[in-house]
Amino acid sequence: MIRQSSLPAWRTSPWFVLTIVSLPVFIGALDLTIISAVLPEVITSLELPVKEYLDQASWAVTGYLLAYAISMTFAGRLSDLLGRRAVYIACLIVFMFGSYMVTAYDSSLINGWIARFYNQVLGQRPPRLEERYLYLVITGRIVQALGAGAMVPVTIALAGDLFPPNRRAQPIGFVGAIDTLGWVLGHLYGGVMVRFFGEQGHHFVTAFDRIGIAIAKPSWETLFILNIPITLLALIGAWWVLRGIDRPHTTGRFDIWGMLLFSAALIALNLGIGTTSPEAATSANSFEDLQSSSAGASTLFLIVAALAFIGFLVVETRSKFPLIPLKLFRSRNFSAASAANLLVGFCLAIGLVSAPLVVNFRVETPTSDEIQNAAYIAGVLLSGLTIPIALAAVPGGWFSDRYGYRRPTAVGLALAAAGFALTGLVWDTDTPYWLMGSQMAIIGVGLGLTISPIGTAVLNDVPEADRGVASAQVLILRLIGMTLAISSMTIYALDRFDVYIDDYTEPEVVETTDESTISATLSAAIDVIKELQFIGAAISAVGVGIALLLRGGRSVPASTGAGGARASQELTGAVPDD
Amino acid sequence: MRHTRRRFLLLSVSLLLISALIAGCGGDDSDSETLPKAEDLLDDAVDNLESASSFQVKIGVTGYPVIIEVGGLGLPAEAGLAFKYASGVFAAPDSLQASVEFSVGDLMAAAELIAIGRDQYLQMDMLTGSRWLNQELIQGFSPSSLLSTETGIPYTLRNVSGLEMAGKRDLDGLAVYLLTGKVQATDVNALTFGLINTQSGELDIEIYVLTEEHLVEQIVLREPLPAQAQDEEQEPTTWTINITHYNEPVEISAPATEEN
Repeated sequence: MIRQSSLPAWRTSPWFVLTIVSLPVFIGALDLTIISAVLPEVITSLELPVKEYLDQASWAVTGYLLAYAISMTFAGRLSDLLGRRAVYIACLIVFMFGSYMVTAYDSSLINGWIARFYNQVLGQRPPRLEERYLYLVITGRIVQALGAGAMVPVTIALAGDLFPPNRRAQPIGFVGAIDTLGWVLGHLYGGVMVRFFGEQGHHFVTAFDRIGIAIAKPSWETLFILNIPITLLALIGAWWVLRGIDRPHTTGRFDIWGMLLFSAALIALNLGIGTTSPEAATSANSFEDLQSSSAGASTLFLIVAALAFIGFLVVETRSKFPLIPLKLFRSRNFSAASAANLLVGFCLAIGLVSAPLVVNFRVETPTSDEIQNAAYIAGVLLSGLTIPIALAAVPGGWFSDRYGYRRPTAVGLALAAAGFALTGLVWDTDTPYWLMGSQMAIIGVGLGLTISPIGTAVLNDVPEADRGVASAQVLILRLIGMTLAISSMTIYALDRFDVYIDDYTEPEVVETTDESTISATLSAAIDVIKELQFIGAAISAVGVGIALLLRGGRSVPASTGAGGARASQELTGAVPDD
Repeated sequence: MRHTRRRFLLLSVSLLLISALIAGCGGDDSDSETLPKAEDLLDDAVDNLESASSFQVKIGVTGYPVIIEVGGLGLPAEAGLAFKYASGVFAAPDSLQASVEFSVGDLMAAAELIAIGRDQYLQMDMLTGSRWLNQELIQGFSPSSLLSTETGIPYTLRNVSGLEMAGKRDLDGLAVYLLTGKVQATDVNALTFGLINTQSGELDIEIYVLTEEHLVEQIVLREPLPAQAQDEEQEPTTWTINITHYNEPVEISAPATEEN
């Protein structure tokens, strides 16, 4: 809570504080996807051949995603221990430093250190300079993500500190919407800005030249340079608005082994299932692309992931101050909300991948113009899913306040199930894009409605001391759900595609024309994508069942004596819904 | 909590110390030890190179572009193919496997090359897709020419004029002797695969030789800026050739082509 002493009313407004601290969350989420659209441009500017280095460069996206998820695991707990303000400010500094590192890839000092490290410590010759540049960009991105990812659970935990239990749903929905909006717009923002810099950048050079300042033509690097003043302003703002925030009264130690083992499990799982980032997956041109954009499954990494996770569970069971208190899972609300969120992530990934695949399969002649046009259509079509998610997150909080956690979560997932079923029934080789977009909007609204009630259910179900941890878990489970969906659905889709393509190819016809091959491929692909939609519908339906296990969450005016007591009971799920 | 803070403080201080340690490892290592005679050192290094069973070579170019003639490859003459980088492994007596990177306009592309004797095999996405073709990329090239005593790298190094010992240096953490001198542009064909812009006159050359092993680690060649580029704000072409991983086991075999 904010200390009231001598502070003006607007200054103590929780919404004002939350708005200020949410800006960097937006920037951090924006940076999650900002580089995926311009990755080839980045590689070219480093004077490296795109095809040969795209795999390595994609770590600028995947590494960010992983570091984003990992920092979420421990930042919440750290903020429980050290205080929200200190950890939040540290996150901003880390993010700002990472942004600087991305742009300082050509620093001769840093590159000299790296070469020296290779020669003297590793006893081997360093990579060539251009490769070192690329690795520094990736490293900078990872550092950025460590700060950006950590800000999210701290901000959600702050929402928990700033608002009383019966008013938390809307602010949590707001933070969820801001986070979603960021990574939804990042791809578009990065692409548009780099194109704008390419076409109009020389005007900036001339304008600055007139006032006697020589600058380089803006490029993709400018996107990261811009982060620095924005973060600096946010840092001043956060320093100021968080002054009155009480420190949580949590004592104990930071569970470093828990953090290391959980991080190792998460990294090994990602490497093991060879998944690609959701952003890379959305730009795949085919199932083969989807497969090739991932590293391929590795049993060894999966074993390591399993061992690390078992180790993590052992440590958490024995630790006096665990990173994730496993006892929280004994609560029905906490477990149900966590499971529902995992499924939401799974469905979200199916939704994100399906539409671009349809668009790209429809490209008959893969010329540069056609591919660019398909990318544009896929981007617009995707916004039909993602913008409703962000928009529905806020009313989701409102519904949660009035009807409890269960109804908006169940209704949202039921809507998503209906949307998936509709797309599975309707989508065909020639379905107009506007129709596809409107059906995806149903899925988007459904998934968006669940963000706030799920987050609030988790946050209200844990003691104040564990809010940071709980906030992190909400987000991580969604990311894990997305990751699992992309890898498992890719394997499934490839398998089914082979079956369908055989059905569409007539064996007695020895010579097939290009047209018939294209037609067979498109038809087989659409059939597979429709199956994916039905899987999405089934998973959403399972989610509805899980959502029905949620209890409480309705806000009843806290000042009404006995009613207040009942409100408190309802929020923690002690009193069942009607 | 106090423990946690103390631990973080300790971690921060450790990171600072490590950074300082790495930073402190650099610097000019000029000291009072007796330097070897430049000619003897170079002779020694060239002998080691000539007798090597294998080595890795990396060639990078910066500054004014080095244009590759593309006539034989079916690319339009205006394609403007410029050599940027090559990395390869040489195995005595006559095998080379290399990856060559070049720019086409703003784009970078790469080709894989295997040369065994007079046979050259090429794989390049924009020309051959994923297939290997038995195609001559560098006219008349044979890997053995790299070590030829009449045209190869040893020949270039033995014909450096005005050779001087500049002293002991730190090359990114490696202790090396720096030798400087001049070399005829016509004598550096093997080092630059015949791609050098300058066709006559002398070039500045720097040779870095490892102090312990007396192996050539790096050669830097600086070309003068061509007359037509004097008005452009261009840096002169600099070739940096790194020769490393001497005498390591290497096996190079011909790839499967459509013919075989």
